[in-house]
Amino acid sequence: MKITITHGSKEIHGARVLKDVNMTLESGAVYGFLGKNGSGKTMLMRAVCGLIGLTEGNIDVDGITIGKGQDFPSKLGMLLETPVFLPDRTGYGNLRLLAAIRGETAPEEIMAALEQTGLDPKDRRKVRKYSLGMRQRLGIACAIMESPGLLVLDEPFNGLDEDGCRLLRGIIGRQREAGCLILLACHDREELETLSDWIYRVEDGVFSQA
Amino acid sequence: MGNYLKFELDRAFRNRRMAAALSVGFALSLWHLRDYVLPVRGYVLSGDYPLSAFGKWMGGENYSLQAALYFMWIPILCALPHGGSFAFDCAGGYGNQAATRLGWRAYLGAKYLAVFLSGAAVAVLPLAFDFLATNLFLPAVRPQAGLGLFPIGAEGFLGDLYYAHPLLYLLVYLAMDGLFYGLFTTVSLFASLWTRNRFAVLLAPVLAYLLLYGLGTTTGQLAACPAGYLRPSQLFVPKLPWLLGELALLLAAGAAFFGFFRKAERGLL
Amino acid sequence: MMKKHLSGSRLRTLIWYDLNYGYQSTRLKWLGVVLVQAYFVILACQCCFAPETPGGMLGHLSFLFRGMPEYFVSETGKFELPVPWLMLNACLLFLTASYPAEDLTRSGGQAIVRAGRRRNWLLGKAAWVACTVAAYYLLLAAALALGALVTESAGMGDLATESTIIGSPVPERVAAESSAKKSAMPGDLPAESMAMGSPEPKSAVPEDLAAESAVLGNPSPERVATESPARKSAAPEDLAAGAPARGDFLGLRDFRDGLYGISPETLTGWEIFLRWWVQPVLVSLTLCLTEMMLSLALEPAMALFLTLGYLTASVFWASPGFLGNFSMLLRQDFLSGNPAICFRNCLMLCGLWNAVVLLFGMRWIRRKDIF
Repeated sequence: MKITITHGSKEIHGARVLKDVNMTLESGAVYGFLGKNGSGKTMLMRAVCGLIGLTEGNIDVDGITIGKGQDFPSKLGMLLETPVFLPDRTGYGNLRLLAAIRGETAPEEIMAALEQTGLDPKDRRKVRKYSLGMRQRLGIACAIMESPGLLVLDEPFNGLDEDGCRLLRGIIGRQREAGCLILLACHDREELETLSDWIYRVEDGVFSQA
Repeated sequence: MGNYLKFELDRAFRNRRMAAALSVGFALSLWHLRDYVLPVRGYVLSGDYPLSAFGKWMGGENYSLQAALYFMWIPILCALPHGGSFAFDCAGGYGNQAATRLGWRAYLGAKYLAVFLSGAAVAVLPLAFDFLATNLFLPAVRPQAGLGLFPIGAEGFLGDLYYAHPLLYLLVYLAMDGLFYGLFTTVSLFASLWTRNRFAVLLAPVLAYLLLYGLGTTTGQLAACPAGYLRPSQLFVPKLPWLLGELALLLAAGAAFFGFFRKAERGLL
Repeated sequence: MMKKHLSGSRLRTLIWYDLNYGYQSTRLKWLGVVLVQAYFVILACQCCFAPETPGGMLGHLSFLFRGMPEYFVSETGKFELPVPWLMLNACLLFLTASYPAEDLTRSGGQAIVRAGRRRNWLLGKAAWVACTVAAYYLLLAAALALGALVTESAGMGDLATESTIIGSPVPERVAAESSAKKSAMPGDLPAESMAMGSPEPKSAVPEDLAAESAVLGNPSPERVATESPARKSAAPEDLAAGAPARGDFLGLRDFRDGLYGISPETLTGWEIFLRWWVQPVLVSLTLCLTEMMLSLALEPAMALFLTLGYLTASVFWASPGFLGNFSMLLRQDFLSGNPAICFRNCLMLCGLWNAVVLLFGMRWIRRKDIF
């Protein structure tokens, strides 16, 4: 997979949140985004996912422009903001429901994704009983369960304990080795430097390679 | 609590939903003026009795669509600005922040008052505007009983007041409307105890309102329908027992909100 | 070898997801719907239970969806809304109001990105709305069937008594116009069919039915008698004679025998099915789809308010531009004389409206920023 962002800008209510972003991203690498709150990291990630449209410029995924040739990148897995699931269902039940939309994921793969994040696929507790850390793990499992080609993770370490962080590092490593293109936003500079192949510094919507 | 109450009132009144709710109310009023008041302003003295603003304003008649729309769907307008704020606060954790600093009683008290006042304002302000605007075009001639031109029965609820001191009647009715619609809006707080779904919470007052309307009209107990008896034109003649009974019910919902919360304190904190 | 969970097109799986997820989200609302439907069906059965009055499924359905005749502004009159019709429609709008908007924003877009195309996501929601509307009316049909079975009601009352159940009298102006149009209409509609508002003297009308007619927006019998002395004498002995035996579950025989003044030549069984069942479903589907788009563009509460306001306005204006007219029996062309409120127009308008809403919606969702 190859993502090319050309002169990407986004304006919301008169404020430019992305300013002339240019970058090329390729499979099998982790791209880290480092910046203060409100700098534009999440906005770019949303644009790459196809959730928002750019005011100017294009985002091409394998040569097809998002918003024109396709609405969303295929094989996308994402974790943006605190994940919200159906409170009256189990974690597995929630993931099964979402996986059924594409219809390409076997139940065993869903269970494997849950185990990778340290959750028990056979846990009968409803999501409403989950702690913040458990919901975060469930969100990560949701992002990886369908063997994504593009993985977008916005602050994935939020709410995770030491064990959870360790598991997440392992997941990111395995996904990279499998050829996945990973976008990672994180406040912890050390964590980002350890995991990322490339780091972009973000300030007021301007992306520059660190 | 005083400072926090000011903050809650600011939240309740200075937001787009309040503007939207009031806009809808004023728009209905202007529409009513255009359809029912302006066309007759040249015919004030053409009948046996002069046309009166008391009989022509939106709250003073029973036959227009605008009045039917307003009084049927007003609870949803009242709940829109601030009715869902408690559910929102609890879901987002803001409620914890406020209650730990204020104490739960002060927080809930301020919330209740703000919700009540916002609902009352949305209900009353467009009506007051409509009456004043009607007075720009029609004289405020005192109503006369027995002519069949005014909807209030002389022997009905506050009928003597209507024919003797119509402006006072109007003020009393507007106060009653403010009280009842404000209390209906607080039903959303009661619903917030059961669900955090903002949509469901906003609809709780209108569901209660419609439930009473449906039960009343289908069982023949018209005096139980607030959509009828809360109209100053008394679409359905109010009866004191029903009035007081429903008032007590609404106040009980408020008391339940406070009482329930005492037990659910841990849930908030 | 790992089994794939589901095969088939993305849209099909999306619809399955919506049915599942949508049901989970609206479970409690369905409980409320069941209670409301049960209440009104019981009310219909009670009002249609007296031996002189018609019943069966169609009789009860007629009670619920009769609406009111065209309203004429009168300073001494009262504008009262037809409660069963309004509440049953409002219930459905409440049921479908929030799920689409919630699904878009709740999980940060997890569902829509899996849909592949944004329009697929929207079509999935539209399909969910259609299925919900269908399920709602199926539930209503089941409740009516149960009510008809329990009451075993099927008698046919005389027209005078019937008019107090079905609706208020047709105003004189419409009656005059309808009489003029009568000669152009196929079949031979008896004059009584336009004069539905001539109840028997008060003593012949059971008290609860008289109260029912009063509270449901019908003028009091005395006022009707004063206003329409000509109609008062039009008691259809020929219809009252030879009333069929009770036990007509559907109530269809009542119609064939000329119930509500509809002669057999005017409406076939198929037309009765279209008017009594298909039209309300079409109207509900159109309103719910419109509400869905409004809830995505604005918010669910405002969408519900606007749609309910439009529905309420339908009571006031007997115009095909207000779709609620097509689901009110008393506004239909064969009862009111207004030729614009017919099935063909309903089908055309609803089809056009739905196409516009969906096309506009697909275009709009393509450009919407999802936060």
